[in-house]
Amino acid sequence: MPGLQELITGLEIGLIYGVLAIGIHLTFRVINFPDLTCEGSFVFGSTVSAVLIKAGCDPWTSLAAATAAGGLAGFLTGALHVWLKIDDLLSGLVVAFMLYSVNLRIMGMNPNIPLVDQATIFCGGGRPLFQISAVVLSVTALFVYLLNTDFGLGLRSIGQNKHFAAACGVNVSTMTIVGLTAANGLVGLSGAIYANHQGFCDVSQGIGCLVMGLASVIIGEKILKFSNVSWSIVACVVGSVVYRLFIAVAIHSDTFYLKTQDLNLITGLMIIALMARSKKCFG
Amino acid sequence: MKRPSPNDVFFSRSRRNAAQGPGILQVCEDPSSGSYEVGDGKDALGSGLMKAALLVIMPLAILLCQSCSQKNDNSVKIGVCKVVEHEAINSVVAGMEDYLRKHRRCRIFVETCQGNMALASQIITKFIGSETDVVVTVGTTPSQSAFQFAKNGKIKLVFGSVTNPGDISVDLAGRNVTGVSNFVDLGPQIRIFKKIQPNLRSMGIIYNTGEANSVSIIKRLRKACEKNGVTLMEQGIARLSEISQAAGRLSGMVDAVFITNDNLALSGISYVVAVCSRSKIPVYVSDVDQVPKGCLAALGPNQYDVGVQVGKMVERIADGEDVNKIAVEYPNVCELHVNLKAAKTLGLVVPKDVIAQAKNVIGE
Repeated sequence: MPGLQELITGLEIGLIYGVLAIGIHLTFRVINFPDLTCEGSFVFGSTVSAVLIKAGCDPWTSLAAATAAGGLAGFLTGALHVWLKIDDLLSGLVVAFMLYSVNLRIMGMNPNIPLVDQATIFCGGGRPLFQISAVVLSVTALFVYLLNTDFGLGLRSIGQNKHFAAACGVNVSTMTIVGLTAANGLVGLSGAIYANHQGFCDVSQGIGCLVMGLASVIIGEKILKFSNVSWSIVACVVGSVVYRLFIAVAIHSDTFYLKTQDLNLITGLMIIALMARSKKCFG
Repeated sequence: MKRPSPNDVFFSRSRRNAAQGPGILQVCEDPSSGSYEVGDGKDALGSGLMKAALLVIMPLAILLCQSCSQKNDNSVKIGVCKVVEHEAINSVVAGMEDYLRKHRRCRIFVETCQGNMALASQIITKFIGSETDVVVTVGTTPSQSAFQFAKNGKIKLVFGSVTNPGDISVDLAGRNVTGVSNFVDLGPQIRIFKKIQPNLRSMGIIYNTGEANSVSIIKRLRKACEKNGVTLMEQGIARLSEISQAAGRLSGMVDAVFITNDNLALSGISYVVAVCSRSKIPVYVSDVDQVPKGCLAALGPNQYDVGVQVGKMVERIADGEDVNKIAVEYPNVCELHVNLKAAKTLGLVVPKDVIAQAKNVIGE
């Protein structure tokens, strides 16, 4: 079938960024913390994974290490905010800023590590879609479960009303740090799968991932309008895939005599159309 | 204990209820987010799934229609993916396009991945879907993304402007890839600079620490400088806003500043020239197109000619030559460009034999 490869690649990338979107949903929506760490922790995860794979480590272990690395970055942001009382925006910003240098150090001052001839998670044969779906499904299931436990309720409560949560016996500081750690762990994991999928890791690959992840979260919310925690996690992944499909269509805009430079405009207009359409149109 | 604020409970009145009549107010305690609109659950599930399905089917349909409507003719189809919109990169693409259009019937599709690697993959798969004969990538990161598909035999890949082909893979043989690197030997460049400035002892270089091209040049430049008795002062930058400070710091310490094929540093070349000429320090580059901007001299390939070289390679593949039998090439000719206007401002006299050697002299 023509165009199949294109759709599958779009789907794969969408699913990978879906993990990132869940992370961003956790911070921006669930615990209501404007976390800017992710541009740093995304690359942090991918560099850790790439360097470990290059050193001969098992690729799946490297994913776990990348998750831990991303979590560490999130923990730092949380610690800066909670213990040093640094402004929430600034603490994320400063951690992402510092991570740029740290990432270059980890990569041995080499901004680009090729993984083409290394054993990545996709070396087992078959389409990468299988491995990616497996990871995304398990991550989604895990967080759907977690958010529905008492612990998850505590996590959600601090995003709604910190004072009320504290009054109910929730430790707001701990919960903020735990939320940020978990979220950035996911972002790191997403970065690691991304590097494995692309076959290289580049220090600049985190640029724009915050905006993209946030867009995915909002698109997902718009498509799956449920006041239900479990669906909101699924919505992140759906939003991310839809976003990628939009881009796949926008790339074909040359058929309508538009230039490739118009890509951002086309994608943006499609998102606006999705956001602005009233409830009447689609029932 | 603080009293709970009214924000804890969200009141939302759905539009449909409002239309049916006043007074039906839905109250929802929503712990995860305040931004949801609330309808009755079943209805939302149905319409939500429908919308999701619609959103997936729409792009599918458009893509299908397009691939059906494609015309079949015997012209060569070439897909180009360049890394960013940048003067040097655009001249490579222009050189390639002009050469191919002159020599063959061809359809060329140019896309920019805007430095985004996920986008690069999607662009390459578009080329695969539209049965492109040859894929050309300009820049290191899109070449790496495209190599994932070339090594599986899905595309024939020709890269351009990759300084170190080893960044794509150490082993390119038999993997459907070839191309033209933009690496130029550094020794001759430094020797020309020493001819212009016989007392050149130390040279500063500004480069982006996050750019693979530059870092691979720096490693070789260290050796080349050592051989020619020049001390190298490295100044890494991460973003454009740091460049004037970097130039300011270097201009107090070195005899000359050198900018190689670094996209970031070249974007800020005017700052560097302005800062350095204040302290009478010349700026050398590797990209001859930058010399008119106030740089003193450059010995390097003409980017347009590199593009022509890429075009010739694409033509050979289109003629049926096996991509695996074409070796990676380096720029054929290096040109020397000298800017005498800049020399005058700096109070430097450029030797006659250097001027005689130059292909292009500005401000004669």
